[in-house]
Amino acid sequence: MKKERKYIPKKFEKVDKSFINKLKSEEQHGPLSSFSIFPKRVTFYGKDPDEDIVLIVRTHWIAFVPHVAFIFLLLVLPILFLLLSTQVSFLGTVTLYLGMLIVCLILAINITVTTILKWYYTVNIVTDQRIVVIRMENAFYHSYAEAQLEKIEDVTHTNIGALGTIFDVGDVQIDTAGHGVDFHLKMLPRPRELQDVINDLLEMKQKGDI
Amino acid sequence: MGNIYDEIFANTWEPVFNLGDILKIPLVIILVGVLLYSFMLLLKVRILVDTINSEGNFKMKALVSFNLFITIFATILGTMIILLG
Repeated sequence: MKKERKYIPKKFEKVDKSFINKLKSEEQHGPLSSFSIFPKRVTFYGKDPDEDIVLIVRTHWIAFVPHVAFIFLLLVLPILFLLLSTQVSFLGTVTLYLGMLIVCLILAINITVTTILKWYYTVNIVTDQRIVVIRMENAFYHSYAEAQLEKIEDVTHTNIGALGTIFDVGDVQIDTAGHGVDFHLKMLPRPRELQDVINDLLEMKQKGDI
Repeated sequence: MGNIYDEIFANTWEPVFNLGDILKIPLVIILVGVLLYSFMLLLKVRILVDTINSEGNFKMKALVSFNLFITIFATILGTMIILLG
């Protein structure tokens, strides 16, 4: 039996919306979760004191499977060369391929660390005021974009392919008014729930409930 | 006499093509590049920790610091092995 959530901000306690009722039945998640509801002890740059974070969504782990495959290949290839170098003289000394193994090992470790950081710091934050999208690609690139809830016009989610169906992963498209930033959030877990949360927040905002 | 003449002027030069020697310089360049990248990663995390403040930040900072330490150690070891090999 699931425990009832302990932490729900006061302004949401008496709200009768589908997403709140659903969120109430959710269990608490740790800081390394892909789908955190009303997360505690999380703030972001520019957050107002009376602003509450409703949802934090990170990319689903399935999106990083190609990275894992590449890392595996990077580790297997030098071992193969190392074994071949003892047989084929054309390839050079064994010591050199030992060095190559070290190079590939460092590369693999750095790609793994970058992938973990990319997962952790690519965050989509839904608050009762706005949507914040922080993206980190590598050591040289990160971006921060936000849109006020009033500016959001349309929210769509798509769930395509076998992976989408098996792992409940999909894309969420958020269209904003004017020439501002439109968000295309890729490979998110439970996309229809994210859409439901944003739509309910928009409705509440229009009615002046939050 | 004729044999000595042939031995002296015989072409004994045989070019040896070794893939290992060609690979040495790019491998060292990659090692130095990865070292710089891991340092940049540490700086990037310092910025991102300010951007989003959560419980997992300490773990991420520890992870990149450990990564930099491992990379420095492996770069020194790798360069020595490649150049001496």
